[in-house]
Amino acid sequence: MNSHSSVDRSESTHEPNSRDYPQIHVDDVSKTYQSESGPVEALTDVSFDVNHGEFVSIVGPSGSGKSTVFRIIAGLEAATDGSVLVDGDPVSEPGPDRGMVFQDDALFPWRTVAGNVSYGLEEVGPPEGYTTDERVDYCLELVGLEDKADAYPKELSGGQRQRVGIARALAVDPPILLMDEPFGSVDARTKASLHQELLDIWAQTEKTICFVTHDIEEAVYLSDRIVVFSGAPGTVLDIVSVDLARPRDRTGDSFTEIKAHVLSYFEDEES
Amino acid sequence: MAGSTEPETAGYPTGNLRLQQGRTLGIQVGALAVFVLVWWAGALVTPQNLLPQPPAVLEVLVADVASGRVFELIWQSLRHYVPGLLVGSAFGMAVGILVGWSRTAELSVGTVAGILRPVPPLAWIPFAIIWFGLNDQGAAFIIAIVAFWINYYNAESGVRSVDDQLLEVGQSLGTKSDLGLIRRIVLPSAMPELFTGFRTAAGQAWMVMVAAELLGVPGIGKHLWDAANFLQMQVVIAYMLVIGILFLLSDRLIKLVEARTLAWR
Repeated sequence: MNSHSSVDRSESTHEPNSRDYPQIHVDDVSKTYQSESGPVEALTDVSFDVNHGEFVSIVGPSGSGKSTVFRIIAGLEAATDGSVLVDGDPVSEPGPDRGMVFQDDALFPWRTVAGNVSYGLEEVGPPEGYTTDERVDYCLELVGLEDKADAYPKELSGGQRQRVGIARALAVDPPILLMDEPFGSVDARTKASLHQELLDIWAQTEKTICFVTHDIEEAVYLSDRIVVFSGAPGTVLDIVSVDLARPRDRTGDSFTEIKAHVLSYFEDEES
Repeated sequence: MAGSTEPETAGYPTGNLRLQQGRTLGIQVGALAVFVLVWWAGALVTPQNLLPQPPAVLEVLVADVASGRVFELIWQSLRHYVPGLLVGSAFGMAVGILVGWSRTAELSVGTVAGILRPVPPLAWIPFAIIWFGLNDQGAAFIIAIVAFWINYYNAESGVRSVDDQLLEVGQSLGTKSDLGLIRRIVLPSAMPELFTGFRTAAGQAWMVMVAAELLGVPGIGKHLWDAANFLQMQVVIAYMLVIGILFLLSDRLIKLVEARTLAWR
C-alpha cells in the first residue's frame, strides 16, 4: 500500500480547475422556507469562502441555519437567493466531489463495513492507482478499522460508526469533506480521539473540510478558521482565524482566549 | 429505531437458555395435548357425524399418506397456490414500491387502489370463472388478488419509511437515477417489510385457496368440501390439519430465508 502516496493521488484525481477560485465560495446566500404561518427566513446574505486544503468550521446556536448552509453546499437544498460555487462551478445537486458525513452516521445497515466503504466506488469507480478492494483497505486503514471490514454497522460502537462514515466519504477521493456535527452524539473521550484522527486524516489526504458544529471548543481545536453564525435568521457575525500550531492545547491561554471570543457572540445574542 | 441497540450477549445457548427452551417446548406440547383431549372428550358426547373423534381422523391421515392421496391433493393445490402467490406478490411489490416512491403514482395509482382495496377477494370469483374458468388459472387469480394487496401495502409503507439521509448519502456517492436509488437503497432498506408482506400473503393464500377450490378446482379445499357433502367429518378435519401443517411449513421456510437474508438486522 506504500506505493500510493496521497500526494500523487491528489494531483491526479482532483486537480482544481484553477487555484484562482476558492474551493467553496458561498456568495450572498439566502434561504426562505414556506411554512403554514408564512415564510420563514433561515439564512440571510451569507457569504464566506473555504480555500483549498483549509479546515473551516461553521459554529452557531441550534436553529441558526448552519445545517441549512451545509445542505446547500452539499446540493441537497437550493438557495432562495445567491449561489454556492465549488471550484468556480455552481452547485445544483449532490455529487462525489463533496463527501458527506452526518451526525447520526447514516450507514447502510444492510452492508458490512467494507460494503459501506465500497458503495461510492461501485458507482464512480476507484481513484486512479487503486482497485476497489485496495481502496477499501486503504480507507479502513486510514480510520483504523481494518479488522472490522466484515462487521455490520449494528455491531459497532458510535465512534466506530462515525469512522466508517468518514472512510465511506473518503473512498471516492473527494476534494471536499462536508461534516454536519459528526461527533455530536459520541462521548467526550471518543470525541477527543476522533478529533486527533480527523486531523491526521486531513493532514494525510489534504482535503478541504467544512465542518458544522455547535461545540465551540471543537471548532477552535480543529479549524483554521471559524465562521460564526447568528441565531435565526442565520447571518455571518464574524470569521475568526485560529492561528495556533497543532496539536493544540485545549487549556492554553490563546486557545481559551479565542474560545471566549467566539463564545462572546452568543452571550450577546441571548441577553 | 430498530437495530440501534447493541446486545453483546449473542452466542451459544447457555445452560439457562437450554432450560428456557425446554420449558417453552413443554408448554407447547402440553397445550396441544390439552387441545386434543378436550376435543376427544367433546367428541365422546357428540354424534360421530357432527364431531369425529381423534382416532378416526388419524385413521384417515394414515390411510391417505400410505396411499399417497395426501400428496396428490397437495400437489393439485400447489399448482394454483404457488403461481398465484408468486405472481400476485411480484405485482403487489412492484406497484407498492412505485406508489411509495413517486408522488404522482401515489396520487394516480394510489387513488384507484383505494377504491379497489375494500372489494373482498372472493367477490372476484365471478370474474375468475368467466375469464379463466374453473381451473388452476381461475383459482390462482383469486389467490393472486389476495397476495397483491398484502404485498402492495407492505411494500408501500416499507418504501415510505426509508431514511431520507440514506438516499442523500447515496446521491452524494454518485447514485443519480431513481432506478439506481430504488435498486441500491430503497429495496435493501425496505427488505424487512417486503418479507413481512410476502410471509403474511403466503399465510392468507392458504385460506383463500380453500375458498377458491370450493367452486370445483381440484385440490385440498375441493376434497374437503366433497367429504363434507357426504358428512365424512373425519376427512374434513384431517385435511384441515393438513392445511394447518402446510401453513406452518411455508411460514417457517420463509422465516428461515428471511433470517438468512436479513442477517444485518
